[in-house]
Amino acid sequence: MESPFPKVQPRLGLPNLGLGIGLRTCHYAHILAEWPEVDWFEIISENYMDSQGRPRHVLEQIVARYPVVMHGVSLSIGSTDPLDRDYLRRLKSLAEWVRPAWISDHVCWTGVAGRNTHDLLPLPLTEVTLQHVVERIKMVQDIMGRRIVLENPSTYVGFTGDSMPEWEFIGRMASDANCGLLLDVNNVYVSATNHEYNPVNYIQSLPAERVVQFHLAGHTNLGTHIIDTHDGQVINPVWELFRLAHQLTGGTSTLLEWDANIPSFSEVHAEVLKARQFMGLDSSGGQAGFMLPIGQPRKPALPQPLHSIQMEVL
Amino acid sequence: MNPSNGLNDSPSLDLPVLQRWFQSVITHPDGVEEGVAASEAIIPVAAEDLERIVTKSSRLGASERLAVYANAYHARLIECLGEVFPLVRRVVGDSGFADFVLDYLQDFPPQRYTLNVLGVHFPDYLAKVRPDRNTDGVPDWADFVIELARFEWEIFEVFDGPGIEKHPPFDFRSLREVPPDDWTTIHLLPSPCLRLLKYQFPINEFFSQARATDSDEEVVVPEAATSFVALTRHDFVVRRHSLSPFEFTALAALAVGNTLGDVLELNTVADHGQDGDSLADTIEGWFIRWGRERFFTGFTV
Repeated sequence: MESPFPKVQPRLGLPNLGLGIGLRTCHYAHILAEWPEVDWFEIISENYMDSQGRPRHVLEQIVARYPVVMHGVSLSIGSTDPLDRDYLRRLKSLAEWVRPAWISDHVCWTGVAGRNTHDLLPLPLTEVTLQHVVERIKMVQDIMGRRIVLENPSTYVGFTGDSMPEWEFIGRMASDANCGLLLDVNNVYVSATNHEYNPVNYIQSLPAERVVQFHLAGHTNLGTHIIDTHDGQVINPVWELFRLAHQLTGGTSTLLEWDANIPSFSEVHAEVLKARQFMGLDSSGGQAGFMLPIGQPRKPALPQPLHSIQMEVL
Repeated sequence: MNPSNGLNDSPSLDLPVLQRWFQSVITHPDGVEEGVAASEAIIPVAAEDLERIVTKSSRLGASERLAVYANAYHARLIECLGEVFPLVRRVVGDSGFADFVLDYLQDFPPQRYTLNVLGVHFPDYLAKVRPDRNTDGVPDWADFVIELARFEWEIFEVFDGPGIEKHPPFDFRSLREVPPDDWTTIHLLPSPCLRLLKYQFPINEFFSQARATDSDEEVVVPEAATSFVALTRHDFVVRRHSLSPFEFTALAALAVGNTLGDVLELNTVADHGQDGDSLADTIEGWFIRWGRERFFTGFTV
């Protein structure tokens, strides 16, 4: 079917940075000592916006050597509170210093009435919400002076008033607001399991030319639902979804998030390098993986993100 | 998904109302059902009717699905403050710490875009909810926990606050260039990361000892004993320095703008039994340490 929107360049003209990993405090020492061969890093913007200590010092050295993308968790693009102008000013200031390849956040809200729950809360998927989010994306892009990139979150509830599926909401949002998409393949799998829909259909329905980045991560399967814990390896069904997304988009910057029970830098890096096995290969054998197997319940799990900095004290 | 659902057309379920209700429900300290009941003024729905608003799955009901967010909200913030106050958490225990945090969040819910300021009121909160003091005036367990919380918050602030790493170190030998007659008028300029702290307990020693043990090992609250500590930071690592009462008094006087002359005239000199020669040795030792640890960034005359 012909797209109702003007053709745009693949990845919106943004570069394919390759296979990167999320910068985490526990890997600082290894990175500074070894300067490992990693294609790029993604930082959590809020961890560096106000830093006057070691986090900022480490980042200064990393941006001098690697491509960096800024990924935020507090934009709260779907909130009905006014946009936080102070936050945006600080985000812009950090971006002027880091010069990231792009800036991303999530399709969610984090709080209202002056509060921030520090969680990525689900939006009701309605025409009213869509219009509200699109208007705010345009305002943010005006303030920041650049296009932003937004990620599909993992969600655990839906609303009875929803009038469209998430893939339609996100696709229309990206086209109407002229923003980029960060396709978190693991989040698609998590939400598809929790809401019992087909993740393949989700990925096939997105405007592939607007996808400028992929996220990969592990999760925790509790039997009754899945929580996006970022605490382990990527499971095979998610890799198969990644294969599909790679084919549909022609390939784009891919990043692994690992935020709990974080192993050594080398192990994290090795995990994202597995992506090579799923790039440019035939996908016909992978369909069985989309059957969403539910495993045994595990210990209580904490959804990501948790953005905080570990201290060094003598 | 239910496009024809009349709830979406209800004026009471527009986006601002739905968001206020959702937040109120998932942040309630007693769980989703209590949260729903407490949020009836926003959306009048009973817990058993939650599926009018939130969809269920084949495996979870609406309340259980909302509980994922409710549990995550509290667990995340408890974990965050546990990283800022790790030794307070060890002293009061995981359960006690969680109870404190849940209560604290009622008065100080997160409002900023960063979690780094979430704990700023936590020591004062502990002081506010502490049990009545001993009638004998001797500092007790609660005093210790409050002081430990203040210490851990100071460390947290120094770690990521303003520092002196970008500036050349201040060489105390440069004071020799000051004419002797002007020496007493010297003002030393404290580093922005210098903290001078006085406690009723040996907090710094406790901090060292506790950190040297496994995190699940029980810690013993020390006997009360006045202690003095300086915090600084260089090479982006927080440094802790135990101080004598005399050195603390001198540093505190210098840090608030008194001159070296003022400090030398303080009655502390007599109090600490220093004659001229030993005082000179003491001050020379201080200068070497203050220079090495970068307590000061320079001086004015």
